Amino acid sequence: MLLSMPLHGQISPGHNTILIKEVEILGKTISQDNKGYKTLHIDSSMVGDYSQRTLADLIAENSLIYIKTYGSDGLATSSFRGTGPAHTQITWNNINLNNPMIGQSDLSIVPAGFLDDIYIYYGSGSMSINSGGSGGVIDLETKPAWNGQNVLTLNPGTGSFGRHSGLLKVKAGNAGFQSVTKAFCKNSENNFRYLNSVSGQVPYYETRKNNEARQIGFIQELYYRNLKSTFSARLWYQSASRNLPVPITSPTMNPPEKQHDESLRAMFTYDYLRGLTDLNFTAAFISDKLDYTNTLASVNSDNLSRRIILKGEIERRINSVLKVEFAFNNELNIVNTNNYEGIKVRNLASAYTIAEADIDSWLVAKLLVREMLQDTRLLSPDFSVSSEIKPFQGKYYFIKVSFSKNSKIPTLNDMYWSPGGNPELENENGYSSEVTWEMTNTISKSLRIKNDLTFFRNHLYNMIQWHPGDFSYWVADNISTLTSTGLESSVDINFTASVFRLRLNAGYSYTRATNEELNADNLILSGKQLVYIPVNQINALLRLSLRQFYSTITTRYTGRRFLTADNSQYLPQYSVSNLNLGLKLNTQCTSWDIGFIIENLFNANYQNIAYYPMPRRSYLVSIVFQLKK
Amino acid sequence: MLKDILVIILSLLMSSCIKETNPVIDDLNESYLSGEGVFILNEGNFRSGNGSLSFFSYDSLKIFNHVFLDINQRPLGDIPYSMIIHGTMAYIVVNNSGKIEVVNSRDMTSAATINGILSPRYVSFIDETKAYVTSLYSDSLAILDLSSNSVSGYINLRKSSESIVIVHTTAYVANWTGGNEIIVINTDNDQVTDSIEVGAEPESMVIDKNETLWVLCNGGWKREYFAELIGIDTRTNSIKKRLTFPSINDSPTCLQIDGKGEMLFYILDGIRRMNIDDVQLPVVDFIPNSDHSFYKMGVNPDNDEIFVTDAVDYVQKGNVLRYRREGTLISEMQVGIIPGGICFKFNADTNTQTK
Repeated sequence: MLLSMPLHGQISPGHNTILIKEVEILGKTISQDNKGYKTLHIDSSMVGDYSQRTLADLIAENSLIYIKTYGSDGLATSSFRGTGPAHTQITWNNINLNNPMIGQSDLSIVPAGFLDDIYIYYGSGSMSINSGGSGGVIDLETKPAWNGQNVLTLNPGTGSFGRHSGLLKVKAGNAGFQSVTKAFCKNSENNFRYLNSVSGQVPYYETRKNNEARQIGFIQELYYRNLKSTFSARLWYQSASRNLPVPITSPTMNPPEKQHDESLRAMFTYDYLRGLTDLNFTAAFISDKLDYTNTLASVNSDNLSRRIILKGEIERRINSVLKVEFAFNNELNIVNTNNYEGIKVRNLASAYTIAEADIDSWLVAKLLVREMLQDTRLLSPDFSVSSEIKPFQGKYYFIKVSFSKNSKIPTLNDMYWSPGGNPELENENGYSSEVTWEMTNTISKSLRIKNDLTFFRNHLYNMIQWHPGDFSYWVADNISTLTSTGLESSVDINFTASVFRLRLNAGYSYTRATNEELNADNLILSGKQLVYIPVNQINALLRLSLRQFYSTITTRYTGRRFLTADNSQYLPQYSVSNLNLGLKLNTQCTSWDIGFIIENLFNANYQNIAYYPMPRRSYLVSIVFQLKK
Repeated sequence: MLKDILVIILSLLMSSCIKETNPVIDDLNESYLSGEGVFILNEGNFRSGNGSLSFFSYDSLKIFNHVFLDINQRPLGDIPYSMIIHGTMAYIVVNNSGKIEVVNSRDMTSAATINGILSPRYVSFIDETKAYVTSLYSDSLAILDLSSNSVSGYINLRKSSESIVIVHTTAYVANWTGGNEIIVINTDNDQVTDSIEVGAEPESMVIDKNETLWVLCNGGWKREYFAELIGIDTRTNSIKKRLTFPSINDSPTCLQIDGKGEMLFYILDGIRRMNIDDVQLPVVDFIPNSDHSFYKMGVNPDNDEIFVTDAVDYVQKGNVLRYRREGTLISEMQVGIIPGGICFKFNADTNTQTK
């Protein structure tokens, strides 16, 4: 049964028009050949279906990563395999986007329409991107299309609860130069009706208030290439202003809580390929501003972090067996906030090397060793070893085995928040191991089935936890230990017959995550499931297309999530389905994609976080118009 | 294979139809509220809405948890902070829900919910029809009309307010967060008449048998000022005793007094006790914390038993510890998350209030 359960494997397009992409050699990074590790690729055809939705929606429906969200347009964070949001790294073309103050990213303010591809690296597999992603890395890729076609895309959308959005894309250029422009705006009132069963004598429906969100974003990318090299310059600006609604246990308390996020990201990349050597150099500047105000409580929190990142990689194939890579990464963090005492500066330098050996046609082994320097403090090295075995010649069956030691530096809030920050905090460390069985069977020309099954175990220690201190505020300390074990299984079935295509992709995950604290008072919590980590999750996606019509139905089942550390209270399981119906019309120079999306098809009342209701059934109409030349 | 797939799809679609009305489920216990006892307000985690009410019964010597939820079939709210019984009704102040739950004191059935109060902290009764409500965030004191269970007006303090003590027709209101004043109000005309400058952050107050108002100033969380225990003569509104804690790191909380109005108690890691006539602060614990995280306490005015809450790690369920008047431990009972305010229930119509 588990093997037959679908897992989200390689996502393939369900469109009735298939564009075979040009093979790109320049700019390929070694990380995407992550041999020996489980990796999930969500390609542009599937990402395109979410052009009017958020990265949080896309990840939730296409992977088994648990997305914890405060509701539509509310803060959304990810949890891999029982780890926390700070153990997930969100990267943009391999550059870490996580805010150094909080060590995490808000997936709800990343428009999926900005993205071309998504790579998800689980556990040990994340280490070839960066350190600290004990859970994993979600890499957001934006890239040019070197097909010489100029494309203008207009994508307006409108939906329930005062939702209006628009996406503009312009791709222009030739075989040597490409310009990609994307702009996005979104307004949502989010004034949905929900069932309040906690505030009155009897349950009653009421309207969510103080939940408005406004968002704009802009990406400009320029690419130049010649025979041996590619140069790219990217700029990403985005801004989101949101009112923050209160939990429904505070029925009449709607303090004017607001949050304004503003990010500016600039990146310059140079790729050079000569013979068997591939050189990559990236320089990036990232500015994140987060302002929170609550005039009622006289809280005005202004936070500005700026980062300068330099990253270089050189990869060389030594011979037919051995390939090596050397890389360095330097990240300078400068934070100015009224929550710290003064401006804080931190520099993180790391160097790593990867050796990959194709020992035989059936065996690949890989070793990664990384050393980090935090300001002047040299940290204990991290490592990762993996192997990929192909047990049967001629069959696409693989066994992937990996083991790693990974460490995460404390966030700047953990170190410097006033009061309670602890500059003496040590790194969080952890060991991860996993075994994956993956097989792809091409039954016939029209039917392909891919299954995989993964067992994993993470053991993180020295974890940072805030706890009551000697005075009337909490302090951060390295006191906690996390152990998570579980399995992930998936199946991906693709069936094609003439003008009919079917794709079924589904997965199941079992995650047992417990917290072991080094405090004798907390022995009672030993072995208890961590809060907001569901033990069971199931995802299913069924896509059908016939000629120019297509339909996708997705279902997510999320099991019980405990609310208290002693597991005495929990949120019940829920299941939510979405339906997407669409029609594609093509002419020689234009194409139309008219989509109608019903979210929460069966009108479930549910909460992802206690007392923050999620919208009931809602509708979204989206039109994608493309002009190609 | 196709059959398996069909089964999966059908089961997923069917589970989509699950309807949930009450998202939080907790183990249920039988309630037992008759007779005398002690209510313990479990604050729960901030914004988690998992506050609850426990009851220790002197009749059965048992503790009953999540009493409000069991009886009213809905959660109490976010940060239940204080509770006071007035006649046949009990008033539960739910701080971060901005409401006061009015319940029948005998069976805890809900009688009314007073909404729309900004960050309420304590209720104090002026007479049979009027009460004052202090507020952490508002610069006004709310006036309650007890006959209609509604807010009938406000008294502008220009400052936030915390603990409140009524002496005859005078209300003394502490300006805790960032403040150093006791605001004096004439309860006949609801007018501010005076203010008394005390130490930094007056956190809790009690009145003794001589009608001396004792004010515990914890010095503020930044530890810029020494904590102080101050005695105010309520006839003249002047300070008559001022005791300063010896260390800048001393952060005492939760001042209480015994039934006779003679012995003062407060938490400073452990529990300290002193007579109102003492000229020095106690230097040793009356009850050591013994690795507990003492959070709030109450002294039963009837038998001087001391109930202390232990918040443990502020994440898991806490405990309440019951001590004899001489400080020996009688029992330790598990309650809800972050047990805080304590309210004593008597069969007679005695008003009690949490601290």
